[in-house]
Amino acid sequence: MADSSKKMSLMGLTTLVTVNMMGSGIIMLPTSMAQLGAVSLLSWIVTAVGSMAIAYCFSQCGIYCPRSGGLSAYTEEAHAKSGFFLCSYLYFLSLAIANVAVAISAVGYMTSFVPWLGSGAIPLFIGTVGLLWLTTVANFGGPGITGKIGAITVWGVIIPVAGLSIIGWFWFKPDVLAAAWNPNNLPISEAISKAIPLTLWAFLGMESAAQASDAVEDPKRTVPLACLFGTLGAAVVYVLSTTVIQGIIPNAELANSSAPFALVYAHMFNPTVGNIIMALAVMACVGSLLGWQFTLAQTAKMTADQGMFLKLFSKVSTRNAPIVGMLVCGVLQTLLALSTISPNASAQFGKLVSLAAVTNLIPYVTAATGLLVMMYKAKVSAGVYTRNTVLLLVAVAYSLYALYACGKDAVFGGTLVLVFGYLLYSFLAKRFVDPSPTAQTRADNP
Amino acid sequence: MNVKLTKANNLLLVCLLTLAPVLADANTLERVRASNTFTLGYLPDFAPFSVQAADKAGGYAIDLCLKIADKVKTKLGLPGLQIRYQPVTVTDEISAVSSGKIDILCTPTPPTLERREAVSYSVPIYTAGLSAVVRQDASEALLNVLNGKVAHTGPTWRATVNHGLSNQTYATIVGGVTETWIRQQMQLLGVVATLVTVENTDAGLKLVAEGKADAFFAERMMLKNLLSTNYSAGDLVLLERIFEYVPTAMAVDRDDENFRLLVDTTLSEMYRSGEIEQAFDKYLGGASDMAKKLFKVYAIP
Repeated sequence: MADSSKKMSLMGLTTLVTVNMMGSGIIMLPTSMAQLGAVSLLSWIVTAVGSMAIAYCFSQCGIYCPRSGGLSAYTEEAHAKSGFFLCSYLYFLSLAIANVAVAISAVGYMTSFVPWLGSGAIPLFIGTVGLLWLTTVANFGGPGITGKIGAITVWGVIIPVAGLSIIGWFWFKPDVLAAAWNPNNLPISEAISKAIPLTLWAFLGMESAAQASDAVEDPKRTVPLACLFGTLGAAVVYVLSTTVIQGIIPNAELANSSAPFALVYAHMFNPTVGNIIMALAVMACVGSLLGWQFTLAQTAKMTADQGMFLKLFSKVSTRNAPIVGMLVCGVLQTLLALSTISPNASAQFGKLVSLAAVTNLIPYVTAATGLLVMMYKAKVSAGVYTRNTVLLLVAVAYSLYALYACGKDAVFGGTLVLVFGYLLYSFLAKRFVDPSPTAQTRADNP
Repeated sequence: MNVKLTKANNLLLVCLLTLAPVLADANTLERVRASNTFTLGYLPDFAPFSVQAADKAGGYAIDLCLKIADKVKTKLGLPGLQIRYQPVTVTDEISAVSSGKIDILCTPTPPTLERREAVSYSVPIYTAGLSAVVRQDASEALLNVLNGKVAHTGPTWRATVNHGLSNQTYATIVGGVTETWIRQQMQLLGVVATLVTVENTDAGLKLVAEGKADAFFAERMMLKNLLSTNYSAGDLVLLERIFEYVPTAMAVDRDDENFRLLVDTTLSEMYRSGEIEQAFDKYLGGASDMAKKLFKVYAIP
């Protein structure tokens, strides 16, 4: 009982997954969708279905593979130890880079409250590093505390975004939505193909439930459910909020707004409410950063537990928080944040952020495909096997399309990073060589 | 009865209308002959086309106007014809022509349908091109959009800063490029843009230099000229791309085909003799291949 209070509940983990996914992306999403018109809403059909298939596969993996290690453990089922390492390595890189980017976005949104932050490169750098460390230190209290803070910051999403999905309908005018349908008069097929990239990657983050398996109560039940509910929740909120907003604010205004949620609340109530909404959105953004810093440290810890990352990442405090690993991650991210200082470096950092999406997607394929082996080991019935295999193929097809759509620059960078990972693993591989019977006595030490 | 009366009224109206222009200012050549002066109108701050130089004016358009004045001299047989330089402003440039205050507006303007209701136009003397000036350190996203490419390529996910949308401030001259035009051009390229308007080219460049605007849209030749005189340090950059082309010409009296013919004859001869090309070399940094092709289009055979 005492132990479980330091761990995260189903509610806490579901919240973490939803907030992680929406993060800072949701803040500007209505604007980019409005630029294309309400026709872009059709893209949700494709992306929500594809993403739910991935979430379903992860939750099945969670059921058949309750061991620690998240995506990497699922990967190991089909792709052996090197798969475990590569998955952790790619995913760790992805989060380390993405979290810095989320911090930069959050500081950008804060400039409307603290104009100093937007006055130059140095204030931006200070703000970014400040946020990174704030969210690192907030995780020192252990998973229980992280879950509790997350339960507060999640209101930053619930009130503006989920709230809009409910109360927004009172202000909804079907003719405003109809007028916004296709403002650029694109052929429908072209409009949809332009819209899919807006929502294609909106669900990245659904795996964060699996990454937290070491830090939750009853992982065999909590992780699969949190993954499914979190993704479903995000899908519902995404679809409803981006639909209702296009029926309240005329297209031309929405397409040119730098704070669409603040705009819609200012329209429904008054500008003060708009500002409060913006502040809540920033709070949610910081909350998501907190969740991601937690996931980053957990990924490093689980990998170090397997003897594949430096041992210091697996050292936990009495409150189950890998503090030393968090400090190392913080230093690494501070170095990455230096890129905000010059425009040239931030252009380079922009390329890293695109690359990070690729290194987030490769583990999806390696982990989901592990399900085939797990089902074989668990001797599941033919019906379950067929159903899961079909959904697995949908999930992998979606992941491959998302990889393809990242574009050649991002995939090129991601591939180089992947191949470099093989070199790194080769230095570790000797640790996992099966000792031969004659050498058994000598191979006792790790 | 009624019908008859209306007819009579109509006839009267037609007569009055026909007489009106004659009563107002006779015709340009008659006016020049009577006063022995040929009045050139120009905008004094429109380098390199027309600029104030002491009590006279200079520039590409003024040189062309002086050629026209020579032609008027010969045509009217007035070797002692006086040339008067009359500066005008953007707001009264068209009314100055239609009221007869000036005989010709040397500074080129685009012959819009609205302007054509008040004045007539010579053949084009210059093809204006809309371009933009940005700072040396302009973001890649802005340069992409201004060059007609999508601002952000690659995946758009939670870590994409600002969701890939770049927030820009554009400036343009009052009455110039409209906000709608910019929206249409750039909406699908992934920018959120605010448009501010300024009085003249100088003020627009100042906004960009001070960082209050990210791009300033105006006529490329004027931007180029002003950049080389006022911002030679190189922290402002002129885009190579030209968004829109529009031929510009000299405004003349609306109901005076004789004078208009004289102007067009002079300009067409200059196009054919290569004098216009020389003027381009002198004032506008040489004629591009496209400009040379257009010389042939603009000259009336």
